[in-house]
Amino acid sequence: MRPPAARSAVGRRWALGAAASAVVVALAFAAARAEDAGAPPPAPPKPLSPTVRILFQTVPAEKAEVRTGRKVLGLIKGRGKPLILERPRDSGPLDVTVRAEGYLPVHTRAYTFTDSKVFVKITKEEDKHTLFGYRAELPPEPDGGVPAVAGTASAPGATGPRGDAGVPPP
Amino acid sequence: MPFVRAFRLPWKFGGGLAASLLVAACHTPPAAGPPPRQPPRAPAGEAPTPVGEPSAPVAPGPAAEPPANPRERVLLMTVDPSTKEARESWIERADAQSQGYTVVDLGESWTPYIFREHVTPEGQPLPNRYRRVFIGLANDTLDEDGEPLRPGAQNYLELYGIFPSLSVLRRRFVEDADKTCDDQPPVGLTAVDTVEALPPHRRAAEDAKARRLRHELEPLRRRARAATLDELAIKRPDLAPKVKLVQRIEGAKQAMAEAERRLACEGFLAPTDHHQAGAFDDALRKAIRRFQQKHMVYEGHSLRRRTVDALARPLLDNDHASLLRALRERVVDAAEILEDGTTETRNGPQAFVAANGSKTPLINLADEYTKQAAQQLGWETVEGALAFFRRHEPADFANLLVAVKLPPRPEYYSPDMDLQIVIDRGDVWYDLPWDASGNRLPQPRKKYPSFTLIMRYRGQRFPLVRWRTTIGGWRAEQAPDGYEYFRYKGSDVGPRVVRNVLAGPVWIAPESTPIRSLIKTKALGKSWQRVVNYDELGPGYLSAYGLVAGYFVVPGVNGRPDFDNGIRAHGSSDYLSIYSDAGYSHGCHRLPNHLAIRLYSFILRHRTVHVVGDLPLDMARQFLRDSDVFEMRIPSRGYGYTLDPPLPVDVLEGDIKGQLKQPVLAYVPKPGVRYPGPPPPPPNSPEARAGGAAAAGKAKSGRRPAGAEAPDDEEEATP
Repeated sequence: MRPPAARSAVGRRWALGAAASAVVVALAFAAARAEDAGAPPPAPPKPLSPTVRILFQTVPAEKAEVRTGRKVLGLIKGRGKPLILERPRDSGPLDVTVRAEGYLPVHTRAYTFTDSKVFVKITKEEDKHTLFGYRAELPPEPDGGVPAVAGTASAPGATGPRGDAGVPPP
Repeated sequence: MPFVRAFRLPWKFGGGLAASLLVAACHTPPAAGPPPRQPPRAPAGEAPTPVGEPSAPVAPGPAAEPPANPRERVLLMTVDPSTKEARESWIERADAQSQGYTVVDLGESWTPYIFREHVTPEGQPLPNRYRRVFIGLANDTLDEDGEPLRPGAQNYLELYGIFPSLSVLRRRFVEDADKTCDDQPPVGLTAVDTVEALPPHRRAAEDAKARRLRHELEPLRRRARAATLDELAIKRPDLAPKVKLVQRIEGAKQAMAEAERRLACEGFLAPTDHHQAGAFDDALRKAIRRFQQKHMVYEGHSLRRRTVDALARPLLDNDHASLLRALRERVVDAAEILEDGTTETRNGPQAFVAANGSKTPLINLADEYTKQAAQQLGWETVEGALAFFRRHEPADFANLLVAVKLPPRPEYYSPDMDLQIVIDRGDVWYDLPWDASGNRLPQPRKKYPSFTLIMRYRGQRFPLVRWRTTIGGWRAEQAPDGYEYFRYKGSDVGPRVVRNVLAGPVWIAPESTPIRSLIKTKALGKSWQRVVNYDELGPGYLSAYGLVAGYFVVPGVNGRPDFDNGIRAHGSSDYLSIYSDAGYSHGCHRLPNHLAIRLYSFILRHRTVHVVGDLPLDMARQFLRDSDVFEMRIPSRGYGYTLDPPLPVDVLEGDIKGQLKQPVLAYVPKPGVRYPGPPPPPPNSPEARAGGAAAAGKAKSGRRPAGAEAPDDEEEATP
């Protein structure tokens, strides 16, 4: 089971994402509706630079190496010293692995559609149980590994709580 | 380059085209009823003239020079009725439109409407993140991540809704015309319906059996003075079963050998694939899958009827079929139509009563318009298409626009069509599909789920299209304890609306998604590495939401937000789940990608729509797999369109089969799996409720169940 602390962190991040998404949609709608209100004549679109800047930083700020495959892209040198890469605009994603000593490696991705900042949360090896997907160890088998008799422990509904509709024996 | 060319038409290119190309100016494809909204149409008062009806001729008149801007010049083909000679000429796009031609974009930068880039009212562009990838995939220049395709590699993505560009098809035609690997008639393949998928060890046993039977039958044939085994079977009926058996084995072997030759010829079986001749191994299965993807064969990855038929056809015949399919998508998009004949019944096409009181049958517009366009381009035969491709250099296809004259659209077409989606869930089973020992229990369905787009016109309701779709069923789901259980993921019943449509949607995998499905290996430089499976998340043709999704919601009242229970009608690359007997989704209604694209492109162009554009998200979520952390980083939800008013939807309950009349809400342990304890309660979020109470019709009102959490906007149902 994921600890409450981890849950709330994820929840906060998702809530922030939700709020940001809602604001963006609302702004986009406002822009779309501005036409009806008699918007000023359109300005020429701003030209985009041919490259984008991608900033990598770890959270907490630690020294870390950023690789794609076997190729080292650069180093994050700690607080205030992120790794900044320049890539051709809209040239496809960049799959990287961030490795910091004493922490679990993180596989993440950066995009080249716009400038972006990639803050990578890193987790100490001893805290891996705080991450989603951590599986609790199975208790030792009391019968020394003899498979359970069909229709008992593994039978559908036999070990779990019944839903409102109930789970009749199959 | 000369801008007017004359050439001899292929034999089927008839004189009827001459008339069709010389009809009076009218805008095409106009609706016979109210004037369409866009693009600019014919001047008022000009009645639409069906193709083929004689009228005052309007000579297309070749321009003295082709227009300089390649996106403003349109290729027009005309025919001299006396000499049967066709001419290619260039005219201005505006002229073509004013003369009633429909301009079909055959260029490399074409995308369906949903991936077009729009601008804000201020004129600022609203770029679409997936557009570049879509174009790159269609042109065999990019892979699914938008990275350059390795030299020589080809994307075969028709089955996934991305049709090859005309440049790609040109290359296929020209190259295949010079190949000789289909010179031998495929006698073996044409003699069988299917080829049994035998694993390597059974292949050897079958061969030995055939040899033994031959050895036994040949002396008997000679003794009976029979010229063939067939004759022997007539003279000695007692031997007929053995004759039939040896012929079946040998026939299958020959068909398999021909299939292998053909797959190798098309580049799907290479010596480095280590395929064992005659055996149905991984190399062959992969080759068949690629072949099916190339030729849009909806079938399991084995040598069944449709696959065998495609293997038996000449290379150029299959290329021609690909060309017509690609043309169909472009024509359907240009003409802004949808009707594809799928609503026809045994009694013929559906009909509606027109404004003049006449009963008017619905036309399969997709077929009819494609046929017209192919005929006018000289593509209705393999020879005509090949000649066209040989006349034109690859560079000609970069921005190729063509003008075709199409019949008028039905009178019910308008800028604001009164449409409704109806989903019929068909036969529904809530019972567990396995017994206590884990054996599958049969849950047959006679009536499968269907998706229908209804047109409401002058007090009538008639379907424009009707397609197979999916409903939810029992699926594996990851519980908060890190273990997988089964859970019933049903499809909501009752009235809904589609307010938002996302092109290139991103599926934000809920935490209940099995982690194993969220990781894949990818080549990064010279090494392979595990990465987050963005194929599954999107945007992309393999995304769980396919290439486009419409979100089913219950509209909020009194200022409340819409109620989203996580159900969508979306494209899907999992076409076998849509067409197989045992195919189910996680609650959503899946459509093949190309149909979903057609559907939403049609809806967005015949309803009032606000283009929202890219929906940035900047979301990241981590999960653990072994001792590595994987971070799912999603920069955008997709490219948004909002329907105003929303499109009504009705989901019919269907026929509930079996003992259970309501779905099970709890996690159910997988048979044979050990768990650390009892199953945890399922999460009570929108995606968790999808297929719960709502599936049984309890949440038809759309009100949130008492005690339920507020919908988490960022977490979505497994589709």
